[in-house]
Amino acid sequence: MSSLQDQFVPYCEAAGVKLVTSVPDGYLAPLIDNLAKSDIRHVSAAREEECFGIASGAIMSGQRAMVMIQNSGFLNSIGCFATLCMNYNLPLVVVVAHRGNFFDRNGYDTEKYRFFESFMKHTECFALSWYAYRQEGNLITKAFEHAEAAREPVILSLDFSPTDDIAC
Amino acid sequence: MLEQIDAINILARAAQQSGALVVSEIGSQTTWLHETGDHESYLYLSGPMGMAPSVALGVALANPDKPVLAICGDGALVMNFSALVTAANEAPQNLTLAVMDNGVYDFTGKVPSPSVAVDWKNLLGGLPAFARYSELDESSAPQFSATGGLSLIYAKVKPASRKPKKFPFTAPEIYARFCKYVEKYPHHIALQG
Repeated sequence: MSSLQDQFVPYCEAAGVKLVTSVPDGYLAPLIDNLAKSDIRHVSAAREEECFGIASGAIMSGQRAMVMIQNSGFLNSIGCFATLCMNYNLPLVVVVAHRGNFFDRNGYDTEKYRFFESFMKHTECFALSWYAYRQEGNLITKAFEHAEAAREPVILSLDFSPTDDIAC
Repeated sequence: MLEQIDAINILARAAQQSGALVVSEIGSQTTWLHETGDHESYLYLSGPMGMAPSVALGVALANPDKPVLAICGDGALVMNFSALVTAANEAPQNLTLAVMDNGVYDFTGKVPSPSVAVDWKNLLGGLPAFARYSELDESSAPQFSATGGLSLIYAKVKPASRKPKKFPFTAPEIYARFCKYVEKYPHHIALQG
């Protein structure tokens, strides 16, 4: 049984991801550590909104690029997500560490959880729970396939720790 | 002092001579750039303010064999000031940021921008990854290369004396056109459809 931490970089490589840009979070840190050991270009951004710009530039150059941020950082960046990524119909995949849920062992940040849940429910963006689809194999490849076919961003809500002993 | 369209015209001509890709900030930079003459190598941004240096960083990293120029407004750039830090940390050799400083938000009827507090040249003293700084005037002949080092060009320009012409493209059209243009290079994937 492989955890997401083990599978994440192989999934990205299989998906043909060329660039990942992120602002770290406790869920994302082990994934970023593994990315740094790979051949995938990782760009550490100072703010989450920048990630959307950097990834958009790579995507508009024909690459598969991905953003990894926490839900609070996504909430900081909604305007950019809407007016850049959605407005340009960009096939972007965004991995959002969806902190503050019922199973989050830190048990804090419930407001960011509620507001991001509200965002996903009440906007027309395409978002899905990684946990709910964890047995579907390489969700990164599937997310890019959807994003490119539908010409829209896809949000993968990372709603569990990738170091947990959960098969993905 | 240059009108902004004249400063952008100097940059645009130099970019075309150098084969540079150009990313323009939403608002006056995009509309004035278009008015100097359209080109498929132009990635016009239509939102939000401040993203030109970040988008240009992504373009630069994805196209290391091409010079990349971001044309930014002073007001927009201070909305995304941290992009200078991120760019400095990556230090792509092919990226130049140009700041059009008119001291106002041009499309608002000349509301002053807090960017007037910035000393752009001395600012870079704290960001040593910026290898070059230059100031643009009527006699400038900038050159862009894929190996020139991370650079900043500063242009003091007048607030616009007229409105630009209507901008004709939708955002998806800009994306499709730019992507098609840079896909001439082998490391890019093909888009579906």
